[in-house]
Amino acid sequence: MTAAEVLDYFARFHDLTAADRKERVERMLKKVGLETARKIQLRKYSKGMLQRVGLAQAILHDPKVVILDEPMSGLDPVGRREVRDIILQLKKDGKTVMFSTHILSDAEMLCDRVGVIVGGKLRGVGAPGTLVDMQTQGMEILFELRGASNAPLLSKATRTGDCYRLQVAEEELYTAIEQLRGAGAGILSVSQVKATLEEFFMNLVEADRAQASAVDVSGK
Amino acid sequence: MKRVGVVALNTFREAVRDRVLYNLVFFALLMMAAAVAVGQISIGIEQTVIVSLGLSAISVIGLLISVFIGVALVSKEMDKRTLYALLAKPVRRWEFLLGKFGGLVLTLAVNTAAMALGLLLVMIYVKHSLQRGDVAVLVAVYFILLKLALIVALALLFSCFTTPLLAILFTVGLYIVGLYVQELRNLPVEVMSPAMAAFTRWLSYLLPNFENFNVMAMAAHGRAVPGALILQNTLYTVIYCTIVLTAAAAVFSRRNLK
Repeated sequence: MTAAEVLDYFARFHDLTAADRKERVERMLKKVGLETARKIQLRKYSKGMLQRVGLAQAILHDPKVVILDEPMSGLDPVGRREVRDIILQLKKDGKTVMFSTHILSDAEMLCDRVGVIVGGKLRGVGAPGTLVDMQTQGMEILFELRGASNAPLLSKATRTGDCYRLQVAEEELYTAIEQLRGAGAGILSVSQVKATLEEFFMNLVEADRAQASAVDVSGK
Repeated sequence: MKRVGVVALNTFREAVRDRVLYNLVFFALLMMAAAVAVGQISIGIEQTVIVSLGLSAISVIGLLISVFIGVALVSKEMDKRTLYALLAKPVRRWEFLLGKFGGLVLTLAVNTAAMALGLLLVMIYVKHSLQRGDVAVLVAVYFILLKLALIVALALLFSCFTTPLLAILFTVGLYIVGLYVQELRNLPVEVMSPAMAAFTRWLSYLLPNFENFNVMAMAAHGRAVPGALILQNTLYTVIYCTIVLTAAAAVFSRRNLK
């Protein structure tokens, strides 16, 4: 079946006239960026394209609430971006989109409200900013340094080629920059370090593991 | 019922695209070969041979389609995960099942009708005309279609609670047993215990009676099929299919689709 046929098939389950159905199928194909691939068989589609067809059929009847199960799973960066854009478009259109995901950066980027489930239990609900500590946890300096140097800060930095990444406390930022400049480093960028949803999630997982091993030991 | 029709038409379209109707080419070749061979090997009994061969081919081909595709109707949708998207729409599970059943029966009807037409053309080629008695051939084809509808319903029922392989085995097994229901009824009950005799009788009425649908000998000899038998077989199929599909819907409605 082609994308247009699949959408037409699903549209038939809603009380739509033939003209309305046709118009909606065309509009959905355009919305998910498949209008040029409308006559290609679905078996020739990439996973991202199939995901977009799935999204199109889910929003075909213009629902107020859309529930998606791991919409970004198994997609390459381009596919993820495409699906993310569609979800953002739905949000812009005033729809409520609820989705499950393991890619926490996506949830952080897209969601107004998240629920974090660890070990099958809901461990936190709220805006990503309220769940994780939004206070700055330090500053990150990205700098370039060619050749050898014995600046003491270098031992704390992470090196990738000639580039280094260094985390310092907010109050130590200017001293660190002075020291690095003195050692001949070129500062590339300075950014704030904030906790992410992923860190929040990992903290919960580690806390659970620690508790489980404590129970295990006391049980023995 | 509109939603059932949508699923049925889609099932029919998918079956056609899956090249299910390609078997017609095989049937056409078989009939052409038979038409040529029969004229040379069977003097005076061309009609009997042609009709027997044609009806057997229609029955076997239909049987293969109804068992193998019937069993895959639900499992394929689950494997391809299209079932989940469909059931998220305002479609009830029984509507989906009924649509799948209707779609395959429609496919079988088109398939059987095309083969019946081929058979009639070969009969015209061999005999140079059709007689009134040849209507029995059409009745026999109709009975084959009824039988196939019953098999599809059974395949659908088994596929609702077991694996495709087991569903095929159960369906084929029940079909073979159904061919000998009459023998089960004719068992010498006087040598059995009363309980066993009652059980055998009960079982013989519970099992689908496929022997009822076999009027191949009548059709081959141009004998008219009684109208009462046509009515009886039609009602039998409708009632049996309704019971089997109701059971299938009940099982499928409770099935955990995770």
